[in-house]
Amino acid sequence: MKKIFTFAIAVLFVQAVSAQKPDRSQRPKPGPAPVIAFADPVVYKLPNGITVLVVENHKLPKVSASYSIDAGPIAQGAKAGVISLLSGMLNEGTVTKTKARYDEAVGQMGAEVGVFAGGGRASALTRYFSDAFLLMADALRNPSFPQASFDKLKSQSLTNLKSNERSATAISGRVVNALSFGLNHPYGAFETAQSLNSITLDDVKAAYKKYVTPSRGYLTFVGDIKPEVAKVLAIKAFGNWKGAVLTFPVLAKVSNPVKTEVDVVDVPNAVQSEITVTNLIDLPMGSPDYHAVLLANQILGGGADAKLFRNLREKHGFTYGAYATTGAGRGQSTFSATASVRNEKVDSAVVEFLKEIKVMRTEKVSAEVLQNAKNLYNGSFALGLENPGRGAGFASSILINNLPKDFYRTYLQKLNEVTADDVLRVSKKYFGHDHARVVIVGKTGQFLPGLKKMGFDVREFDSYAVPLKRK
Amino acid sequence: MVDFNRFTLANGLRVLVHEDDTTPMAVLNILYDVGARDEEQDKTGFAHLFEHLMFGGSVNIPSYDEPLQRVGGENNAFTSNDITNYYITLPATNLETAFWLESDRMLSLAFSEKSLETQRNVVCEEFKQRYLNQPYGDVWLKLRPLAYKEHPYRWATIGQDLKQIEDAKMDDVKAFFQKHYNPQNAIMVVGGNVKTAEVKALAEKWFEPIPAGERYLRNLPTEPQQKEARQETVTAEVPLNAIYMAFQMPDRVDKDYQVYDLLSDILSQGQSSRLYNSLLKEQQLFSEINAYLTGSIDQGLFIVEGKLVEGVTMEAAEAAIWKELNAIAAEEVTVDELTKVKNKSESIIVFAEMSLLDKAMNLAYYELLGDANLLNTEIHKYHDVTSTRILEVAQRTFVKEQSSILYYLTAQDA
Repeated sequence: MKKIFTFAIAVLFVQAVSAQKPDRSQRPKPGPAPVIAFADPVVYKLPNGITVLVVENHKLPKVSASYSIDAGPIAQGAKAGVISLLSGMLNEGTVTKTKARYDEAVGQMGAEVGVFAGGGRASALTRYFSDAFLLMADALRNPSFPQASFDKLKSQSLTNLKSNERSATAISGRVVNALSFGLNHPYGAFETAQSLNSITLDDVKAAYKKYVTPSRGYLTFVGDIKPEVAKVLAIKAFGNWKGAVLTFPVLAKVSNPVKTEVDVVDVPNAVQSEITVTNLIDLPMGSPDYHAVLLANQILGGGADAKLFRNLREKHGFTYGAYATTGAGRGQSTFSATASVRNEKVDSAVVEFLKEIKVMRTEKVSAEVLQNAKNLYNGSFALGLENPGRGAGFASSILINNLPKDFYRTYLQKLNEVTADDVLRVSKKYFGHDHARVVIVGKTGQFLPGLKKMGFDVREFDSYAVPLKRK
Repeated sequence: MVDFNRFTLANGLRVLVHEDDTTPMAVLNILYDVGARDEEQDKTGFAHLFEHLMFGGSVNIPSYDEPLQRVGGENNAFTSNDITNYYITLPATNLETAFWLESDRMLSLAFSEKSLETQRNVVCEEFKQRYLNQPYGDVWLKLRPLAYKEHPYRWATIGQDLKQIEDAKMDDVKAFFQKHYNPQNAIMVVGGNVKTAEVKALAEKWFEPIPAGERYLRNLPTEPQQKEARQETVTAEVPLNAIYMAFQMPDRVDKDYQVYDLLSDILSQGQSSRLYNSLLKEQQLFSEINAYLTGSIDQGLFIVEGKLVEGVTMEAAEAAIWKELNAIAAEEVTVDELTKVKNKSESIIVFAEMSLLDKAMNLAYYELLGDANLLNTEIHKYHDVTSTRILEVAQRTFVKEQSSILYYLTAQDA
């Protein structure tokens, strides 16, 4: 009896203490996955081919609209830079409004309006929205293309190019794509002083005719607006617009290196070196591998709890951050793992990059690691829905990528069904350890001997991806 | 309008709750009232280094990121000259995990030598990546000590030089934690699909047992009124010559803060602003031009900065800026100009109410300024600005003897 009594006291005592002192050694139990809800937009088509999507959300007194032309990758060839000049020129005034008057009209409303070769965007307080929207349409439909503006923009592009001459980051961005896709591919081509100098105002006008059009156009409204009102506005602004008919370009496939190679560019003034481990992949969003690849990428390099970050930053302190990204879409895209690394640690960092990729390709991830990655995705998917435009983004993605209608409604379910075997299989398929390209842009003097000593096949290039003679 | 409830725990921790049931998510934001301004002169960069160490494990939880990721949460932090701010977003059903993680690192860190060693290196790489390897990346490392002579705003958040970070010792780390990371020096905001009663119970369970610690009494030197024009020239491997002009202005809660803000908007907000129209479009002297406020809590700076078109001399560029500044100090701005920038401020404030995280961070910041409700009344202060007040402020501010000017030249023009 006494014994039982003491026990009861002890229980009471423990409970009393725990009310004040939580048990910090135990993590709280996780709750059920959040309930996901998003609104489908109202969707209809204008006779000229523009698809209109409207998401109504009256939480705040504002409306945003965007117009997006699905032209696909554009081959600019010897005229590389013409599309970015076209983008600039679309903001240089319309046939009825000089640039100064146009900018004044936008500014007066406190609105944001911008257009570019691939479309445009307007956002404003509700009371100014229709005016802002019509200004966007005016810039897309009636650009005045003044010669003086063209000369100014061209000279600015040349200055920009020059200003990035010695930037390791800019050189890396250019060289990685050029080497991966080749110079003849739309993704591999880049601006040079020569290509910019060859562009005339007529080239810009020709590009405008060809690519800025209602064909394959998506017009999205999000916010404090009724679908009927949006429709009236869409017809008023774009209803009678005519233009060239676009077809989505089909591009020749590019191959990966037969054997992993290291391509380096010397930038003697670089304080850090840019490392990119990359290979080309084919991954349509509708592929059965898609969700497993998302998780594999997350586990390898999706953030602060991923392998690359934990290794290169938290374990070795080589870099401020190391990440991986895996693209998906209709054409070829890339897997790449990147970091800006201390010059003297480049060779060690390359080894760690390849090691982590190899581990992904050869070892099954633990159930715990996989579950963590899934949970993170579940959370960030829910968080993304905070943006009321997300529903419209889903709908246009389904149309553009030709996905099943329930693609985003079943997104998390499919993600949660991915197994460790799936992750291993897709890592092997998409993360090309044996057919990769390691591009390093930086102070080669500090790492080239080390890399060669490790037995890598090292090739040297100049900052425009032209191979240097082998010594 | 951002609604909130407010209470204070027995140990002094201030807690604000913003209920928003339109999202399944929650945010837990903790602002520590410590920034680079609270550092000692020979230990700069410390507040920021410390922010990194906050992710190196706490007394009962070896890994911060893993348990959070497991419940679908994300986190990050930033340090400024004024504050250090940490935040978590996660599904509201897992809110308690955020309380568990944040309360444990407020209670005590693991203080591992290995973590200190690694983060010293990481911060040195961050210094290189963001300040040394970017064209013009070190401007603020030069401009701050020119514009401030007494106040600790004279050094940047990243620190004065790499050496001080490399020399950081574990004892310094522990002392810094004791001094600044306690409930009395923090403001917590919980927002999203939460109820105030639930937040209160969780706060009492996880945070109230943490000892109050000592209240840090800030006693920083006031920056004296500047009486002489200052100028400095630096050269570096940058593409274009640039000019940076800094003028002294009052602190964040000054009654004229919004006047300064609108003044900077009239000068450079958007492509129809004065500096953009005159200096970039008409005279084509600059390829970029901007006016803005540093927005610091103590006395701030009004900055005008621009990149020169090739071939334009620094003298001509500077004279052209002065001409615009003198013009705005000579005559009242027009009704149209004032309406335009007020519309813009209203848009910015409305658009900033979009995200839960922004709302939570703003509530914490305004609470630090004195009252979270200032967030909701800020717009009225903008509406109350008149062209007369703008004129007065421009006259007081754009004075040669109160300017600090940095010429940043490309190596070939030196």
